[in-house]
Amino acid sequence: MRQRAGSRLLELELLIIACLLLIAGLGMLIAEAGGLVRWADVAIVGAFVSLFVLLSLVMALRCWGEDQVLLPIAALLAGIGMVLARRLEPDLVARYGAIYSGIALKQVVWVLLGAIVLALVVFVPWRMAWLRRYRYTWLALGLALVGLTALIGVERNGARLWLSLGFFQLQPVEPLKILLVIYLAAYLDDHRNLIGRASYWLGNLKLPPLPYLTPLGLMWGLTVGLIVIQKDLGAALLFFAIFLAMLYLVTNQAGYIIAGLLAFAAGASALYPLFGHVQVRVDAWRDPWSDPFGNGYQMVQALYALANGGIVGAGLGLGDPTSVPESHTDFVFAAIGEELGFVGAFGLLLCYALLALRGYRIAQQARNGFQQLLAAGLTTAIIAQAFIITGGVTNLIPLTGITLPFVSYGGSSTLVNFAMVGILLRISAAGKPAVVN
Amino acid sequence: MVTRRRIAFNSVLAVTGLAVLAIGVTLPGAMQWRLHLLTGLWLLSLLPRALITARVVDAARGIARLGLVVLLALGAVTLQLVREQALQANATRARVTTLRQPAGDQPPDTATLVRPADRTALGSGRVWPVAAIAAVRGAIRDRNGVVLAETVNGRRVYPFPDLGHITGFSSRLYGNSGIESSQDEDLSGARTLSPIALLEGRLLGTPFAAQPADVQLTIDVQLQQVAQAALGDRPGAVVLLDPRTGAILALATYPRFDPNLLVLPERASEADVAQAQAAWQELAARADGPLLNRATQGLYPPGSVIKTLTAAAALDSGLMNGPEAQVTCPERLPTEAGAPPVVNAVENLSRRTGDPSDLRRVYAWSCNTAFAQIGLALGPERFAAYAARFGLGMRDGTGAPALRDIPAEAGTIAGDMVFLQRPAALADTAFGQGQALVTPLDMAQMVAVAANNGAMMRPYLVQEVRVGETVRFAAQPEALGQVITSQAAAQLRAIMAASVESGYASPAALPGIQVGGKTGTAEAPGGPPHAWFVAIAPVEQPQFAIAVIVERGGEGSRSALPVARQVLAAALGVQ
Repeated sequence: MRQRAGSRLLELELLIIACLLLIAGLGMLIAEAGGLVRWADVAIVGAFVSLFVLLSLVMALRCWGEDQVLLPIAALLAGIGMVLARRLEPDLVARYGAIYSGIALKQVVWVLLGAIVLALVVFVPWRMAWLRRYRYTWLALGLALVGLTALIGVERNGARLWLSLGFFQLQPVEPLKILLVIYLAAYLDDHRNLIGRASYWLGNLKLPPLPYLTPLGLMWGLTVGLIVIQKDLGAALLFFAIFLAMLYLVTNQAGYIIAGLLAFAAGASALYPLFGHVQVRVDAWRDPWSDPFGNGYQMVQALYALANGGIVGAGLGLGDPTSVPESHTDFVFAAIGEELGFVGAFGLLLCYALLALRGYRIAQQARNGFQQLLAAGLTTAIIAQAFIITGGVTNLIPLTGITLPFVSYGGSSTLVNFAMVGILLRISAAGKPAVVN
Repeated sequence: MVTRRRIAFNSVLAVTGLAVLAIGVTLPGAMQWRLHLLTGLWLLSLLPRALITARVVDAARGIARLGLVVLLALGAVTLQLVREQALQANATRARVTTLRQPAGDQPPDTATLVRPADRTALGSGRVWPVAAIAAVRGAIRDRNGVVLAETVNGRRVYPFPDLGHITGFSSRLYGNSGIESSQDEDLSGARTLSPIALLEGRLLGTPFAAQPADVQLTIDVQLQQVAQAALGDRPGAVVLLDPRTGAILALATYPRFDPNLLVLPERASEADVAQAQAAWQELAARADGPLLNRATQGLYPPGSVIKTLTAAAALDSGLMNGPEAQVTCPERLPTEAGAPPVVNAVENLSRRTGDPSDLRRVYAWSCNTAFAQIGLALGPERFAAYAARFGLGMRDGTGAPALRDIPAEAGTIAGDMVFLQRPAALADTAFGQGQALVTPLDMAQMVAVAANNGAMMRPYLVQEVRVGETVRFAAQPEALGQVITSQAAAQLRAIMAASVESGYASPAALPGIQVGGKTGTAEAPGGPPHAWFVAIAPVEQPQFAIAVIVERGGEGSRSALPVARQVLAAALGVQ
């Protein structure tokens, strides 16, 4: 028993380091407020210690040998998210009104629920094979969510991205992310052996085998549909990136990726003149300074915040990050860049890089092709999402609204990200008794 | 062998890639940089790709390559951060300050409502996203309607540059300060919009109309100019109050600053920006603190004017039953073992006060030993309680109620209660030495209590806020509390008047009008003392309370008193 309890010391140590970082951040905020401790502070530290450390200990006792780095990284990122929500709340309330009051505690609740989801995925006995068996159920569920949102969704900022569930508004693209990765992993693994088999000829043009062509066309249709109907550029880009990555893993042919990118580019450029919201993003990306108070406004504000942050940042609580609209959700990376500087933002990127390395290692060591694709797909989903939004906020690529995994404020995103980490942990459980598989 | 040569070749390419990245990251053009980034990363990726092909087993190769792409993507974001946060940061900041809000004839577009330059608000730190349309900002006027600040052709203009410490400035570069900051929501019209409407407008881009309001101050520009002229170019301050309401009629301070130098015209050239920045840096660098409003923010030892407070406490508590109550004025007054005895400022003062003397005469001739005895008789608790009623707390606790409109420091009677417990410290504090630090506004309020039958009014600067003919805010005089009884206040007025009739304050007398006053000479380390004078007039029905300080002015009766006399004469219309 004692030997087992000590089997996850690395994880425990990393969690303690993450916890110390959070306490340092909160301590700074408290010191700036003249020693005023808020409920959220206690809640953040309490949630962190009680949930993640407990999770780690229970996993140690079960001794299935899950990866020991994933959980601390997810916990650290979620912790940074909670601290930022706590730091931004008063500024948001002062600037934009009372509708933002309470986001710090709400985010703690979301992380708490996220950790519970993770615990359910990790501890409740279920078979990985179920994911594979019911693949069409998952796909149908995902498409139904999207369809339902398109019909009866709630509009915000001119985009219909939310499904009202009364107590909270679900962003269906978030669960769709997992469902799609599961479906693609199952589908592509089934047709893995078709490499080099019969191709189709269209005149002189050699086409990939139909099993690849069909999902390719489907995905293309889905992304374009997302752009046209839901105006959700970020999700469209993300889904397409996930799909291309997984397709590449199965086929090992860069040609399909290039064809897919060309198709995406063709779709985007065909839509560009038709849809104002795509144009706005591209124009703001090309030169935000040409219209600094209009289309380029958010970008200019973000660049100014980053510039003000400099190398070491203004200091937590000492910047003015809420002048960038949506500083707590999509633009949270700009807030980090301003208050924690290049050092903090780079540290955050390192966390994602480490998460990617561990995720892909889990994929390499997975026991079968399906789990390999699943692990690689989930990892790619998290990292691609982080890249899309950090690249967008820093004006590297056109900005498309999407949350920064684990860090941004928001319920759907937090729950789904923890579920994804839960599945990754399950796949990495090397010491799992074979009978449970 | 082939692979080794290929790896060597790819290493060269990788170095080239690094060079391309290093050159690209310094380029000012964003698109050029992105092309360099793409090229550089591609060249850089060839080496690890070759290594993966050579070293990694077939099955894991796809995942390894995917990992490489992901790492390169995160590396690209890192390089972008380096560019934006280090190399281009100064360029970005400089660019933001030259941005001009497109405002004017067309209705304000919600997307254009925040001026990024406002974020450098060194003035106040207050930034309201929609409070930014310079072309439609309301005017600031004095009590008689004279314009103190208005917007002409998109540029904020301050016709009286000497009033910068009152009006403050509204600058795209340095944010808002003074009334421009405290009344910003009215002046910009943002107050008419609900937070929800603001958010909605911002998010949905629907235009809305803001209604800027005009702000009328209690300041009388004529009296203000008399006060400033009387003070001249000596560092110091003048506060003139209406004791019945708390309205501030004049608030002079020197050195001053000209807010016109800090604002930009609507179409700002780089030269304009450089000029404003130079002006700001000069102001910020000056050792004499021109941005400090000495009248409300300057903290000085009070000197003998604090004897008014001690006298008020003695009269109100019943320790002394009137101006005729007996008290001695000895040459020296030992207080406690080891402490030097209290002495008077001049020798043989009892020849003037008489011995035994009375409260009226020891006040008029500013007898330290007499007030030390009164202070000791009051005791530390009672003395501190009266000081607190006058708004002077301890530095470790709460102070006076804040001035509503512009920032004001809270004066304090001592560092903490422990200090006052020592007899020597209590005696010193009661006659004007010790640890007390007060603002001129505190001292004006102190004598205003005597003038207003013992009630202290909250001081204020904003008389009225109106949009067109609609009055949105009208100041209501607000009593902060009855500090002393009206009987004690009447007795205090009597001894203040006696001090002008025969005493150190006698040069303050005005023809046909009874003035009550008290001089003060506050010891300050490292130079001549600060000169104080506080006064009320007319004594029978006071309309004005005044406090004057001249830094390093020497004796109060020589330098501060004439300033107060000139201002009171102008206010009352006599010579």
